[in-house]
Amino acid sequence: MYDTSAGRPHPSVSLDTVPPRDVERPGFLVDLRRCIGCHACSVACKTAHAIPLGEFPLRVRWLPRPDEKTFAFVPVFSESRCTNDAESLSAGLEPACVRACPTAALVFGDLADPEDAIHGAIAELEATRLEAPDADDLKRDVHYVELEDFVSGKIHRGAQLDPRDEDPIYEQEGR
Amino acid sequence: MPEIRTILSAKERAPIDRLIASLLVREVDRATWIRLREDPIPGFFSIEDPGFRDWIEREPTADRIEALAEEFARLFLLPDGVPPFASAWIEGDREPLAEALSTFIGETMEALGVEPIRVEPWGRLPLDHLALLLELVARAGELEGSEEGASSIQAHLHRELLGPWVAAFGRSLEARATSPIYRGLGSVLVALHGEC
Amino acid sequence: MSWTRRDFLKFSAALSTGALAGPLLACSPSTVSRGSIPESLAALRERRLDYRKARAVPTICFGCTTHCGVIGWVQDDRVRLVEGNPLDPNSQGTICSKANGMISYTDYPERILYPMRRVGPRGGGRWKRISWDQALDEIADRMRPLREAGTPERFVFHYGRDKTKGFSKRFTDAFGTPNRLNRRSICSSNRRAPLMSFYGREFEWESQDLERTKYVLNFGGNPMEAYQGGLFMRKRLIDAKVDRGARIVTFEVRPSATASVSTEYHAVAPASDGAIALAMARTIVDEGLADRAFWERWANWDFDEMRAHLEPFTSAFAEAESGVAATDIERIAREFARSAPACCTMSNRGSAKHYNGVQADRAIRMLDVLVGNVGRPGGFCLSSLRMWKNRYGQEGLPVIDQPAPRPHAPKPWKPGTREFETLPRDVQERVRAFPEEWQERYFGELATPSEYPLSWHWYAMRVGQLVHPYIQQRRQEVDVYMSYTLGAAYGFPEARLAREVLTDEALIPFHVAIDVSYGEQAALADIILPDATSLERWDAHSTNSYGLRPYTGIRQPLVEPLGEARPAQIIWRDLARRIGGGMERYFDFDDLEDYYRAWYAELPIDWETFKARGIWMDEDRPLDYELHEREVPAAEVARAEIDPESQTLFVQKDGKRHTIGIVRDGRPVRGFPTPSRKIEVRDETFPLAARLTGLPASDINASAVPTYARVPEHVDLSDDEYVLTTFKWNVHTQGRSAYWKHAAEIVHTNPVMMAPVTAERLGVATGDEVELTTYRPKGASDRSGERDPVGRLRNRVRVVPGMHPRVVACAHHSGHWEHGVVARGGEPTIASARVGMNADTSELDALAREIWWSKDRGGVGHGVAINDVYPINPAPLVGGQNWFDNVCRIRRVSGQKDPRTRA
Repeated sequence: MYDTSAGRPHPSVSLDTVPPRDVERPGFLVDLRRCIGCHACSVACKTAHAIPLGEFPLRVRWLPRPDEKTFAFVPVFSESRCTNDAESLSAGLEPACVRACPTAALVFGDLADPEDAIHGAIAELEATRLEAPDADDLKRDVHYVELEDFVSGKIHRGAQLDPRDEDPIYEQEGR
Repeated sequence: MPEIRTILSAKERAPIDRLIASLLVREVDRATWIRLREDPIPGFFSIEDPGFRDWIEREPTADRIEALAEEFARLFLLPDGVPPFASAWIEGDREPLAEALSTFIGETMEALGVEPIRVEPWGRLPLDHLALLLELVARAGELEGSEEGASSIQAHLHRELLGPWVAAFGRSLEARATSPIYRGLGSVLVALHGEC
Repeated sequence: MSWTRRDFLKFSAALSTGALAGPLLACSPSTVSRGSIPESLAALRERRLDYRKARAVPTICFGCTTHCGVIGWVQDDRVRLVEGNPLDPNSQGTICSKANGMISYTDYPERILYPMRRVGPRGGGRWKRISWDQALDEIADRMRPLREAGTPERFVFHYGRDKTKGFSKRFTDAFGTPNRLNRRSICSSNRRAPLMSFYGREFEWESQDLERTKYVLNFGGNPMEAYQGGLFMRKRLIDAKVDRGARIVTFEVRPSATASVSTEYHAVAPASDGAIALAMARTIVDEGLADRAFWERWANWDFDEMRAHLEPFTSAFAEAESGVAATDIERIAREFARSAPACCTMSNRGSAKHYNGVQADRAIRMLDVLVGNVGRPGGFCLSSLRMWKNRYGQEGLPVIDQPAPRPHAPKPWKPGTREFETLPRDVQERVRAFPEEWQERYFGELATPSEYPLSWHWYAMRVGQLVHPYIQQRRQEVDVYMSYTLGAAYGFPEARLAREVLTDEALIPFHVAIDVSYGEQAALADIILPDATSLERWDAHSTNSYGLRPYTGIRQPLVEPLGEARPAQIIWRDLARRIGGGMERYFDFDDLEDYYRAWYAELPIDWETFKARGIWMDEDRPLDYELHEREVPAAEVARAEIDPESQTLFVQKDGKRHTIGIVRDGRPVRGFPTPSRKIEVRDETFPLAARLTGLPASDINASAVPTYARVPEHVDLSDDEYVLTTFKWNVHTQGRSAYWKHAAEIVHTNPVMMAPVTAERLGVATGDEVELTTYRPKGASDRSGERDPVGRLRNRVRVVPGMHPRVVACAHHSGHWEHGVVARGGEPTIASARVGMNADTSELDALAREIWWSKDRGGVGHGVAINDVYPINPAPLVGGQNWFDNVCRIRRVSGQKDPRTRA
C-alpha cells in the first residue's frame, strides 16, 4: 500500500544524488492493522542513535486486550527523546524506524506540507491520536490507525518504563 | 604526596613508561623474569615493596610462570579484572566514545608516523590500550624539535588520552594484583600519572 | 609512598640502556604536525552516524536462521547500523530486531578475542591466553594420530549453527569422520520428515505463495516471531490480510504474536492438531470439496481408501480432542477448500514437536493435496532451497559449488567393515536387517542412530539430544570433540547430562570450542578458538524464496575481525595444513575471498558487481509454480525407460534406477522428486522402519498413512497435571542472543505463563513463585515410563489471558550463567570466572551499569534456565525432540494465599 522504495538505501545508488529531506512539522502514522510487535523499529532507533539501555525514544507495547485472548501491539513515541532521526533526514532517508519495519506499519511525513502523502493516509484510514492523560511525554504528532479504546488507559509514562506497565515484555518489578 | 608528575619531565618519564608498557602487553615469560632480576629493577621496586627482590630472585619454574600468565589473563584480559583500555574507564556513552577514541588515536598515530602495534605471538593490540597510549606520549616527546614544542603536544595527548583515567587504573591494579610485579606497576602509574 | 623523585630519576636513567625499556612500536621519522592531531576527544564524541560518509555494504544477516539480505553502515571501521537490502527478493528490504544484534555481539566487551587454554580442571573457569600457533599445533597434534591410525570417526564435530554451506563439511570429509553432529532434531526434524516423505528430499521446507493466498490455515506456526524464514512471511501475510482481506486462522496453545494478528485464534489442546486436520479432511471429502482430479493424478493413495481411513476422525472427535467447536472445524474446512487453489496450510514446531507430531504434520500437509493447491498461485508451493547443483527445480541455474578438488565423503559402515565390528552386538543385528539402501547410508550410532532410521533416511538430520547419552553409554569412543557455535550445555533437553559428559575427560579427552562468545559450552572446553562474527566473514548463501524465484547471496566482511579472532574457515584450513597427510590439498588458498570467488565462478555477473549488490537472481526466470507439471525435455525422454506399472521415467546409473519423471495422461512430466514421482501421502517407509526397530505396529508413528492418536502421557492426565511447553520470542534466537543488549533489555525473563483459570485453580497470582516438577514421557520414548521426576524448577507466575487452561509455558533464552554480564542480568560470576577480552573500544563497566533489570538494582533479574527439566524425548523413528509434550505438576511456593485480596 505504501511506497516503501523511496527514502531507503540501495546498494547501487549513492546518497550523493539524494537531497536532504526538509521537514517542517514531522509526524508519524502508525498502522496498528500491520504492527506485529516485533521491535525492529525500536532497536534500529537505539542502535542508530546509540541510546543507552533504559531510555526509549520509541517503545513497542504488548497490551493484553480486555475480554479477548490476544495482544494489541502499540508503538509509543517519546516527545522529548525522539529527534525524528535528523541524521537520516539530512541524508534524504526515511527515519531508521520506518526503514526497519517489516510490515510497513510506520509512515513518516511532513504535516505542514499539504502535498505530503501522510495527510491522505491519515484521512483515508481515519487515524487518531493517542490521548493518554497520565503520560506527559507522548509525542503529539503520531496518528494511529485502528487504535482501540482501551489502549489510552494502559499508557502510563509514555515511551519510558513504568512499573505499572502490564505487558509480558520489558518486565519490571512491581505493579 | 609530592607532585611527581609535574617535576618529572616527559623525557625523564619515558623509559619507565616503556617498561610498564612492555609488561602490559605480554605475559611474563621465563626470559622476561630473568631480565626483571637485573639492575636497576629489583632495587627500584624494593624501595616500595621490600619483598620484591626475594620474590623475583626465586627460580622461574613452569608453575610460577603459568601462575603469572593466569594472573595476566585475570587482570588484563578478564572483564572482571583491571582492563588496560581507555574506553573501559572514561565516562560516558559507549559508542560515541569508542569511535571518538578510534579517530583520535588513529589520526594521532598518522601524525606521528607510527604503525599499529603487533605483539608477537599474540597479534594486534587494541587502539586504546594503555601501552600504546604511553608509547604515543613518549614518542611525541621524542620527535619534536624544541623542548617546549615537545612538552606541549605530549601534554595535550596526555591530558586527552591518559589524564582522565590512568591513576584510577593504577590504584585498581595495586589493589587487585597478587604478584609484586603487577602491584608495583600499579604503584608507579599512580605516582607518575596521578592527578595534579 | 616510599619512592622519591630522585628514585624515579635514577631508575629512568638506568633503564634507558636496557632491553625492556625500548620503544614498542615502529616509527617513521617525521616532524609532528600540530594540526593533524585532533583537538579534543570530547569534540569527536559529538559525531553521529553520517550516512553520506559511511559506507553501505550488503551482506547476509546471522541474527537467526532465516538469513535475510541486509546492508551494514560502516563508519570509522565500525558497523553502526544494519537494515534491509532491498535487492533480497525474500526479505524485500525488511529486517527484524535481531539484525542489529549482530552489532551487539561483534562489539561486545566480553567477546573472546584470543585463543584461550584452560588452566586447572575443565569447567573451573581459569584460563590463559595462548597464541594461534600454539592452539593449532596442539589441536592438530591431537587429531592427526586419529587419522593416521585409520580411526578418524573418533573426531566428533558438533555444530549448532553452521551456515558455511558445506565448508565445514569439507573439513570433516577431508579428515574422514562421519561424526558431523548437529541440533536439527532439537528443532525441526518432525516437521521436515513429513515434507520429505510427501515431496522428496529436495523439499524439506515449503514456500507458501503468501503474496497471492486468500486463506491460511495455521497449526501452531509463529512466523511473526520465530519460524525459519519467518521474516519472509511477515510482510506477505500482513499485506494479504490488510490489503486483500485474506483470512488467517491460527490454532495455538498461547497468544503468540501470530495468533494475535490472525483473523481467528483458537486455543487448542496441545498435540491435537492432527485430529483437527483429519476432521477437516473428512469434512472436505464428505462435502465434495476435494479436488479429486488432482488427488488421482498426483497422490499415491487411493481416494476411496483414504476416505475410508478418515471415517473415525469426525469433527465431534476433533472437538473432544482439541476443544475447538465441531461447527468451527467444519466451517473452517469449508472456507479453506472454497478458497482453493489460493489457500495453504502452515505449521511448524507447534504441531510437530510431539509424540504424534510427525503424523500431525502429515495430516496437515494432506489438506493441501486434497484441495489441489500444491504449486498453484496462492497455494502450497515448492521452490528450491539447496545450493545450486542442477538438482530438481534448479535446471538452468548456474552451478554454485566449492572449487575442486573435493574430498570424498566417508564410506558407510556396512557389515564387514572395521567400523561395523566396533558396534555393539544388538546394533550390528539391527543394521544387518536393514535394506541395503539403508546400509549405504549408515555411519555409526552418533551420526545415524539405528534406532531412529528416519532421522537419516532422507538425509542425516541425526538425533542431537542423544549424542551425549550415547557417548556416555560408550556407543562411540571419542578422542577429540569440537563444538562450533553450539549451546548444548545450556539449550539441549536435560542439558545437565550434556554438561556431565562434556566435563568428563574419560569420555571426552579433548574439547575444542569455536565460538564468538564465552557461553556455557565454551566454558567446558580445553581450548577456545575465537571465531570471526558474521559482520567479519565470508559465507555463500541460498535458501528457499517465498517470492518463488531462486536467488543467491553473499555474506562478506564489513570490518576486520576484532582482536585476533579468525574466521572459522581459516581455522579449519590451518588445522588441515597442520594435520597434513593429504588434507591440505582441499584447502589450497591463502585469501579466503579468492575461495569464494571460485565458489561463485559460474555466476553470470562479475564478482565485484555481486559483492556490491549482495544478491543475484535471474529476474526473467518464471516463478516456481507447478514444477511437477513441467514437461521432461524430449532428449531426456529419449534416453529414459518407462516403468509400465508406475509410469515413472527412469535412467540406469551405476546399476541403480534414477527416476526423472512420470507419464501423466500420455505426457512425460517431472512429477515430484520421490520414488514414485507422486506425492507420497501413503509411505510404507514408516511401517518398515517400525518393523526394523521393533516399534509396535500399533504405535502411531508406524502408520503408513497420516493418522492421529493422543500423546501417550496426555491420555488420562490427572487434574493436577499440566503440559509444560516452551517457545521463542521475536527479539531472541535460541540460546545465543541473551547477551545482545537491546534484545536482553526487551525480554530478559521467562516467567511461567498460565491462563487465569489455571492460576485460580493453583491459588496463585502474577508474581508468585511456583515449583514445577516434570516427568518422563510414556510410549516408545527414551527412558519412557520411568517414574522418578526429571527435574524441578522454580520460577514466577505470569497470568496471560488466552493461554490454553491445561498449558503452562516458559520461554527459552533466559537464565544463562555464562555469556557475560548482559546475559546474566548484571550478576557477578555464578559458575565460573568470565573470560574474554575487552574489545577494541567499549566500556564494560558502563554497560553493566546500564542493566536496569539487574536484581542488584531491584529489577526482576534474568530469568531461569529451564532446559535441565525438559526430558530427552526423541519421537520414535524420526527423532525430533518432543519439546511440547512435557507433563508437569505445579505447586505454589510463595505469594499471598488468596489472589482475590491482592490490590
